[in-house]
Amino acid sequence: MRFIGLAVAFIFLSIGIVSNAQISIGIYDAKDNSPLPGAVLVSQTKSYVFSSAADVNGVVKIPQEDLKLLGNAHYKIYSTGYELMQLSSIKDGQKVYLKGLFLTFGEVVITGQYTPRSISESVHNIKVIDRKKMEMMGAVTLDDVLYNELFIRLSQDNILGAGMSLQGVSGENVKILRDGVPVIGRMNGNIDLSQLNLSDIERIEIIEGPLSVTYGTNALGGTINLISKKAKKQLTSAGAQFFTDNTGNYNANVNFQASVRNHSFTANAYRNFFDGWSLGENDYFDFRKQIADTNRWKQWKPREQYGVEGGYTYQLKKWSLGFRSGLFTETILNRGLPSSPYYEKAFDDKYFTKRFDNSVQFSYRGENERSFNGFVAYNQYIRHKNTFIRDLTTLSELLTPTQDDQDTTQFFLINSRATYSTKLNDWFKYEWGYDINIETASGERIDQDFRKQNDYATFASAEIQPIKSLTVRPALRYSYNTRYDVPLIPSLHVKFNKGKFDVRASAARGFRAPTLKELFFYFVDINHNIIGNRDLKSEDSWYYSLQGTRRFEFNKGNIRLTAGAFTNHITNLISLAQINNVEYSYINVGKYSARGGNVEGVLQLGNLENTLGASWTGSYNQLSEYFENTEKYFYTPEMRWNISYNWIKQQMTFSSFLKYQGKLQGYALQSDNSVGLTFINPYTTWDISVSKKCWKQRMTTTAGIRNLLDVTNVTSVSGGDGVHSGTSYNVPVSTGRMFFVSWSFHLSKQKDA
Amino acid sequence: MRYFLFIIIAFSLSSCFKEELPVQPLDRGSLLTNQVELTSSYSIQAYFDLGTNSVVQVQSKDVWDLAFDCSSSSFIRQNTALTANAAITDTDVFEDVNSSTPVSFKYDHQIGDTDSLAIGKWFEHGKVIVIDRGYALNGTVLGKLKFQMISLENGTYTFRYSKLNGSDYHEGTVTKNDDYNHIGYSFTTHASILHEPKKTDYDLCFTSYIHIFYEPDYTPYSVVGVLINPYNTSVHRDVNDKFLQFDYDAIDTLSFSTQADRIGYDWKVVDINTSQYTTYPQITYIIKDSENYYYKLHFLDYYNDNGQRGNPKFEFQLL
Repeated sequence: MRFIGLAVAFIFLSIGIVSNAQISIGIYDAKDNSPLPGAVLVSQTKSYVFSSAADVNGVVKIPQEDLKLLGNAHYKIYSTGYELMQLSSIKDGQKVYLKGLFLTFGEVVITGQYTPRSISESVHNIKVIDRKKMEMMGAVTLDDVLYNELFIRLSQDNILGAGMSLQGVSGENVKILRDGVPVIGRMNGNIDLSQLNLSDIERIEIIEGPLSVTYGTNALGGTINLISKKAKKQLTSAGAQFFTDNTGNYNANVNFQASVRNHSFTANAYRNFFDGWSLGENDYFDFRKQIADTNRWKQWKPREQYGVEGGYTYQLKKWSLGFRSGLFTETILNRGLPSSPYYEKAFDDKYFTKRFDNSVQFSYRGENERSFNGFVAYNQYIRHKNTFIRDLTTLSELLTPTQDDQDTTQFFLINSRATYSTKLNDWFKYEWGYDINIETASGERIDQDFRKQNDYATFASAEIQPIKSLTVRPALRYSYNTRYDVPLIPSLHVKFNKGKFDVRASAARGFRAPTLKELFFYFVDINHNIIGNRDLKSEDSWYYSLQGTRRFEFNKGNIRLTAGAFTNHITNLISLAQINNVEYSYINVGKYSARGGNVEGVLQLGNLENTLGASWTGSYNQLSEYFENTEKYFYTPEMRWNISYNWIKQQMTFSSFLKYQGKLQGYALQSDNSVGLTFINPYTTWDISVSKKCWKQRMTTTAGIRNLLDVTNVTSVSGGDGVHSGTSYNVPVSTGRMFFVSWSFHLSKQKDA
Repeated sequence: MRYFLFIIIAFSLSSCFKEELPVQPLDRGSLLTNQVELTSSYSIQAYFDLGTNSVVQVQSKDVWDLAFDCSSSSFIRQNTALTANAAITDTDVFEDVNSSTPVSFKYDHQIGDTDSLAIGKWFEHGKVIVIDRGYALNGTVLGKLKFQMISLENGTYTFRYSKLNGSDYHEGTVTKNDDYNHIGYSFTTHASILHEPKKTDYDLCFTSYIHIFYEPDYTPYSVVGVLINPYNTSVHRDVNDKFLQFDYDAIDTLSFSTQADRIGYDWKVVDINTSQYTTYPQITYIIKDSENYYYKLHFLDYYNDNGQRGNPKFEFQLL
């Protein structure tokens, strides 16, 4: 393994760079004159569109032939977190200084949009987590960064990984996309967020509320879209990141990109390794063999992840065609406790997961904002679980003969979605699209082992701007599914803008299709009798939200204040229920709703940025329909306070991320048919970090402490009635206080024209 | 700088799932032999612990009459070492029962199942019970009495009993103790008694007990043998003379029974003509004790060095 490391390092350090000459524009931060890599320059005529991103030195190069084609067209320059700048002309060597905006305000988003546009222009309420925040938090996988977001609550299962809820709605109702393609592999309804690596992710877009018109099932509670890094024009670069902490994480990642004429390539490879952790353990850097005693069991299971991703794009003036492929494997080793009294044998579980995702994307941008975007994707998810009995005196192991101990679950998805949008006139744009999903699942407990469902949908929307300050976007989706009836999905989004004041209102229907497991589950033995229900309808929801944003600008900075409220009503909830004396099945029963509100302020003062926000999420108590004395809603408060300070002279950034997660309450039915109070105690996570650039900005070192308050488990109590205490148990939150350090290296060279 | 890069890249990629070192197998020790002295008149009950290779409690078998369950099931067992048996009457009026009340007697079954106890589900039927106490050590009849449960509250059994003619009336109490399987009661001393060791302190009870034979006819018969601790103890019986071959790896393929008389009495046989006992060392018992240790055991002899019967000698080893 050491030799592989050396070879990778050699390749990384030996990259040759090629160049070309053209007109150059430098794009810089108006505040500190630092270059803005990734800033985008766009210009278009009726027949030609040019766009290019700045390199690591903030330089955009424009070929002479493009300048000729663009003629007298205006130029737009934007970058994440900066005001849009428009120029009527440009010249070689020109320096452009962009004025900093509020975080997440000026960023360009694509989720649910006709074409890429800034957040302020979008009719949807979109949150963006940018690359900088991921790096300052030392985030390696998606769960590492989501827990700082308001309205998001993470849950940790030491085998199934990290799950989530969004605005009080569970993770099975949150759609997770990678560049618009659904991520598959929902075990017990949830995607394991710790399998979604961020090393090749440029930003994360989060939309609260349904986006079911465009994205179909599971987008009932919200959508999270992971946007991959794109190859920058005429730039060849290579990078590497390394991360380690004192709980046993050792992560490495190398990436490469090259752009030659119309061809661009990206490649990324990573390995994340976690050697397992239990409370009180402190064996950092101890790679010695371990005696197979009771210390072999870990509360947080050791895991090893490998990933290889690559992409190719062929770009013409109006057309682009791309291919992207990614292979991910994960091995989780659950070493069992040696069984007493001999401590000579133990049952060990091995979980192996493989994700293989492939997609072909195409896009066309023409005059009158005419655009055509689409993809065809094939995703594969396979998970094997094997149980072994291990003789700890000889270290030999055998597969256990129990059939339930060995399991393979597989999901396959062929998905194609395409949209066509155009502008009819200054106040009317529309979009039409289709979405085809062919999904198969197989597993030990899927009836007849292998099941398939096809979903064919078409959707359309219009963006109407009767007056400049008002945008109205009605939309509709019609689907045909081979297994269940899909409701007609409408939505209406409205945005009103007056000066520095924005209001957004939404009414949208969402749905969650019954999963193949819910339709075809088959688990009958001496202890179980659970059979899927082929007549299930989809879960159905109506979501309403209202949000207002007011910006204030002053000499040295600005403030953005946001306040919002939402309500989400779900009917036909799919639940496992006893349908007769002996049999259990899934049925559409009951309803659920969530509602809440949030306020947040972002202050940018010089080099200091300060975010302070709070939210309340109310979850409906279904038992209130049967027990009069119980409350209808339980509210969970959350609060976050993030600060970052940029010390320009020293090229250092200091950050602090704090989130308070309030008490989560509910009622549960007891064995004697009375209701008991359940709750999970509140906790606070606080991360701090500092980063420093050196070696001509080629190397960034980030060091910090995650979970400074050392929260490991929180107490959960179920069954108390308010007077008597119930049963309490621990809910895992984190592996405790973590000291981490990461190094990031980046080498690049602009190709001369 | 390059060296620095080499070091951290190599370091990042060199971490792997930790390999393990084998643990030392638990020392099983050598084969152990012991002998329990029940006396030739079988007047003794002896409780044996395999882990310490010792008799942990020994007593005369007539020190108790009833054993009250300390678990939530609350059944009452009789001392069949004295050949005690009982009959459930048709009445719940204590005074109505006398020597002429028609009754049908029954013994606790040797398998120990709660469905097969003579006193039955007293908490459901509530009837007066006629108890035949069996025989004293000297062979005299201990006599019959009538018995009725009054209550079971807060873990305390309260009951009444008297001779069938109503004389010698007593009310007694026994309080459950979770450390024990049963708490005993004696109609001789009119007091409760700890007639068993704590439930985690023993594995085998050497005693005489009633075995009900069904062939050729229904015949309750007093035998001498071994009953297992009802608390988390189970036994596999093998008749194929494999005592020396059995090791820990064989356990996974065996089926274990919690039946009280799984070891029982038939590891020996008596020649009716000579009255000589012969043991069957080829029968091996694999015993899982309440702490989940496994032992193999077989019987070597029924006589002591002086040729006196009633002294089972056995060999065993921790697996």
